[in-house]
Amino acid sequence: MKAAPINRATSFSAANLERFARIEPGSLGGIVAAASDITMLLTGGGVITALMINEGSGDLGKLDHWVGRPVRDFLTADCISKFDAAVERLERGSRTSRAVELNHRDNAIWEFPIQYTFHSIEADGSFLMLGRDLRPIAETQRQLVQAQIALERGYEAQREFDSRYRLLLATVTDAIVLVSLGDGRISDANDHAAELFDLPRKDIVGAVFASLFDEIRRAEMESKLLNSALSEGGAPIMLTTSGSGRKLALAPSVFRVGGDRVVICRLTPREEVLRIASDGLNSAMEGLFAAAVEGILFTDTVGTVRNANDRFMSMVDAAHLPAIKGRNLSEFLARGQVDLGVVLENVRRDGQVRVYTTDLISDFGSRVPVEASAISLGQGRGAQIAFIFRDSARMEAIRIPPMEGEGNAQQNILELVGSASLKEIVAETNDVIEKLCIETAIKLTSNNRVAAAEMLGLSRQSLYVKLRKYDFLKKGDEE
Amino acid sequence: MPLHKTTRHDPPSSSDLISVLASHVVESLRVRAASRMRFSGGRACPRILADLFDKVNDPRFDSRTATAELMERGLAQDAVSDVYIPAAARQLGADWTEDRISFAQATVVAGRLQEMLGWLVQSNDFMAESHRATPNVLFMAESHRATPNVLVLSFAGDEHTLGWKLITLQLRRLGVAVHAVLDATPAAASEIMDQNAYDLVLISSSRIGVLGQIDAMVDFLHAKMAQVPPLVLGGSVIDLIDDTPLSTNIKAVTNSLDRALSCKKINTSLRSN
Repeated sequence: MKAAPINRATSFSAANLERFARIEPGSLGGIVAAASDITMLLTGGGVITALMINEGSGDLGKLDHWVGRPVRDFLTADCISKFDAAVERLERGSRTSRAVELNHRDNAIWEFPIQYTFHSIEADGSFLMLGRDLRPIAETQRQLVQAQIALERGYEAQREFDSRYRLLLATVTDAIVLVSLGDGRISDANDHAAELFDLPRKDIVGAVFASLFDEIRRAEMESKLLNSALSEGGAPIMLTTSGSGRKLALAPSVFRVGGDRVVICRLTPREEVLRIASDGLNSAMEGLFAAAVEGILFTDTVGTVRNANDRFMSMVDAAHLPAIKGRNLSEFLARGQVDLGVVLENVRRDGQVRVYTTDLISDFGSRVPVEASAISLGQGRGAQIAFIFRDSARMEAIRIPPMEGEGNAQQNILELVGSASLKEIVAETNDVIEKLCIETAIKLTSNNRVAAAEMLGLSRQSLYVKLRKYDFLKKGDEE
Repeated sequence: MPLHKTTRHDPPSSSDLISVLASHVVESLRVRAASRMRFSGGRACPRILADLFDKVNDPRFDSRTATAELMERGLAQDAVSDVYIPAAARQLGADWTEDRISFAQATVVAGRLQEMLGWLVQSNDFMAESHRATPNVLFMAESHRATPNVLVLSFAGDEHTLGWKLITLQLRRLGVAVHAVLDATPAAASEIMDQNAYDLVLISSSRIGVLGQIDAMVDFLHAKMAQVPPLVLGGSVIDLIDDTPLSTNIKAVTNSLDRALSCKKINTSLRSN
């Protein structure tokens, strides 16, 4: 590389220049190359005549093929004009050597940014370009841009969810307000809610919720909302709006959002509440469920317990609903899955079971003889089965036969004794009981022989023998 | 003029009438001034622009405060987003070309301008306006029928996304249903277009390399659908493609929103209405 004095190093004093002029021309090239990452010597027309790369910037690759070719061939389209402008400034003899950022391209595959200073050489129109590799900064820039793209994606996703949420609020028929318990203010509300206060929506959003009602302070409102939200099946809060004097029923639910407790509150005008309550059926049914002398139980279609009244819980010695909720009813039936299978099969086929006799067994082993009825409620995924269990021990007590009945039985026995030997009487009685039990099991299981055998504690083969004995087998039943 | 007590049944005094008239005049002047600011023909006030440029170059920059300060000067949100921020971005590009600022500085400042647009996106949101103003169910049914469905796309490799954000904001303000996608590969973009029926696809770019990406995307699309939705290319790339031959799939190259929207697929059900 031709070592020539660099012209117009304007920031140096004359004394400094004199000292720098003492540097041996032979070593100047090496010094320049070491001071910059990439050094190019170009003709006035912009053709590269010499190129040196700093050893520390070896990852720029081999650029020897640039020598002898115009530097414009290795600049991106948007940087060619910047290069031309810098050369023009140099030719005009501009005294300022402003740094110029240029993006190089090589074989259109990769680009790299270099910050150059341009320096004219005294000998001819040639000039020197001293470049600083900007790739580390470009990498930081790339990461910044990627972070920004990620943010923008997040904004778009948030906007989509926000739109769905607002559309949902706008389309539901209920009047909804969201109240932040942190400051007691309404964080959002739909138009239906605003209408109940006779105010525009923008006026109620941000307002203290308690201030929209008569005679209630913020702390009291917070406590009412929390208590009502946390008590299962609690009555709604009745309040009167301060502006329109309208009576509203508030049904709150509480949840946490980012550390803040938020209450989502459904508002219903009192007249609407009264209209719903006017038929009285709902409250009557609730009262019946709570106070019934029969055990009432709701399960899904496979017998998983969903709800039960106090009486049922008392029958199975359960302390509270969570102790049995989610368990299978078969766990509480004397014959377990057999009992449940028989009932469910009949409910599935006929929609109901009128009477089914079994025992309820508690986790502690106590047994309560019951007569059960079952009925199918609803269809599809939400279908349920309602069971009613009557304590048959009490029923038997009620059904004590009258004394004259007892006398008749005594009379029958008197007639029987003596007419046959004891062994014959016992054997005949045995047959009668056996026949009755088999007949009942067959009826209960809707002629399901496997279930009937299991219910009677017999093998399938033994059941068939007895069925044949009592002439219960129809033609073609025995295969 | 002596003041005297008025009762409900007294006729208004002349001083009351003058006060009312004065307040009307003041209000009218305020509205007209705001209106002038809003419809200044898309030209930015050089002084406000210079202040904005200083703000975004200040290390203590805060996007929310900077946006609020512009509004406090009487500028409408639309003017800030459509006039001042693009003008500042153009100034930024010119400064980099003239080597007055480094590309690192240009990247940071462009990001700050985009951040300011973020504050305007929220307040310009079309859905929020309609939620307040129109019967909701009616609005949804009408909007579903009438608004064009537009995909605004920025391909992978495009690091300048200010234009993408601005066009998204402007379209949403017009009530257009916009799906805005960033950093998409041609294959991913074609997948998105295959899954949704778009009336128009706007591609924002600053690189000439986008033309190759568009061709690749169209190749993917032709394997999936018979008719590719109209493609419109915009952004600073249009300054770079003077002599470059363009694919026939690109219906228009423009930075005019009206021109771009005029290219959208005609909805036959709308026409029959």
